[in-house]
Amino acid sequence: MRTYIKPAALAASLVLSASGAAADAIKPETMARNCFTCHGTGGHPVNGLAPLAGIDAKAIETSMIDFRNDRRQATIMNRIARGLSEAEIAALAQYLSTLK
Amino acid sequence: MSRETRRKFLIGAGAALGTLAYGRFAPAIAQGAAGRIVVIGGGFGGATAAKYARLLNPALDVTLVERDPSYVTCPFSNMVLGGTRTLADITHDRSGLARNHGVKLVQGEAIGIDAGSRQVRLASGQTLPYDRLLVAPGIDIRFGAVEGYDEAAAELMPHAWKAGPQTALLRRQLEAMDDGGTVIIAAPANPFRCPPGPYERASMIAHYLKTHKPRSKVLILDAKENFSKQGLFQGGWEAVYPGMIEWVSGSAGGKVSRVDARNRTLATEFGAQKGAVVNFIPPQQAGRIAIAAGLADDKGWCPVDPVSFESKQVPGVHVIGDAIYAGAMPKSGTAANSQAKIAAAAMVGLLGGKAADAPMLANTCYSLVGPDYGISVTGIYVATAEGIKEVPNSGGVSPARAAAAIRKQEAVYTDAWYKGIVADSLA
Repeated sequence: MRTYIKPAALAASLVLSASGAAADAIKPETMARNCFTCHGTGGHPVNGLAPLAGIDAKAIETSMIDFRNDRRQATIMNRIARGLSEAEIAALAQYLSTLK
Repeated sequence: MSRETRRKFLIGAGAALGTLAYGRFAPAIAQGAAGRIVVIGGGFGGATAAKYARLLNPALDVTLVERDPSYVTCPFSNMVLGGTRTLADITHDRSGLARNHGVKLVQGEAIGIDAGSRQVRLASGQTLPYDRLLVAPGIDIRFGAVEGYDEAAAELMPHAWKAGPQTALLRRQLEAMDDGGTVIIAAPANPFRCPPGPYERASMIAHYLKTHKPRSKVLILDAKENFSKQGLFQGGWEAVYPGMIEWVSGSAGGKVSRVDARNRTLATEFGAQKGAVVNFIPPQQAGRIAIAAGLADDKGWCPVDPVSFESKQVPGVHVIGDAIYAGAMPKSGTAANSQAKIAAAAMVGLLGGKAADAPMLANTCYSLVGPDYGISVTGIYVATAEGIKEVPNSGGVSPARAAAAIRKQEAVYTDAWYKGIVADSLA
């Protein structure tokens, strides 16, 4: 029953998860819940940070890719965005855009 | 807890059930099987787990058991010591979990777990049956682990490593101290709750001393050879409090072998150190219920499955937060909040006969060097066969050199993080 990600599959999952090619792909909602700590439960922040719920997927994806590549400078978001593959970012952005 | 108060809790929870609006989560919710989840511990970990279990499956019966009537957060308790926050600012109630999410709140102390009959025993004699149990007990102080440091000693030489009366006591001692005194902070060996905490504490105490008792000093006696965000802290101290904070590593005489609380004196290999105020941060272990229930190993921490956070020692029981071995993740509030969501989803899935999803976890720890000087460490984590690992080439600390505006921005985000995690966990 345990769904360990094997080390060999780990790198693959980071690349392929959005395509569903990896067996242990991380679901976008699993990723998104980590955003909610600061950006509010369900993507509705209470602290003045950027809202994420219902934001255009392309806009979130572009921001995250730019953070990832240091084309856009933030404080912690550059370091966080590098923890996700481009495919994961695309899936995450798509999911966040569907939140009401 | 009086019967009347408990009835009020339960009525509150029941009344909330009819009026909940889960609309915004509706597309993401896969309705799972009904069942009973009990959560022990209402800190950032336990509260978040209870809330998210209900968000993920509103059909579940979720009960949160917590000993203390309100939650005084450890994060930002250093700012209380520094005088930029009050205890009231960091004290929160958990009523939002009942009102907004239909979590049943029970005030009481869990003293035993019967994993066979799946029941939690409370000090009151009450028992709570569960289908899945989540334990988020935080830490307990290992009184007696360092000679001379027992509960009586903590009243003279506070640890203040659980926020509340201990924080207030240390603050009073700082206020009563004469200008020119030395405040000693003794920091423990790894692992312990909040790795950057002792050094943020030194910073916030230095902030208070600089503004009120400028001839005073802070001496950190450390059992370790290095510490979290070390370069950033030491660079910040030089910039903000030049000459005020001295750090002594374990091999240079920082390791405390014995305390004499009455004389505010610490014995080290290099002789005795006496402080005007001494904050002794002792060795720790998983919270008492984890030890009592056999969830912890002989070192006092709980081994868990890195995908579901189910205990490796007691089936059907999940453990999160400061009490566990979490691989690369530190013992922090954000880590507990992140683990809580993974464990909640795993419990909801398992109750419906589904294996836990592959996790992604996150940590962010902000620390204040000064009120306008913030630094951070962050990490993204995944599960591997070897446990929880950080995703390579991601995460890390604030830049070693940065303009004052960047440090100021991180101080603003420190405040935003606090408001955010309090709401995501409790509201």
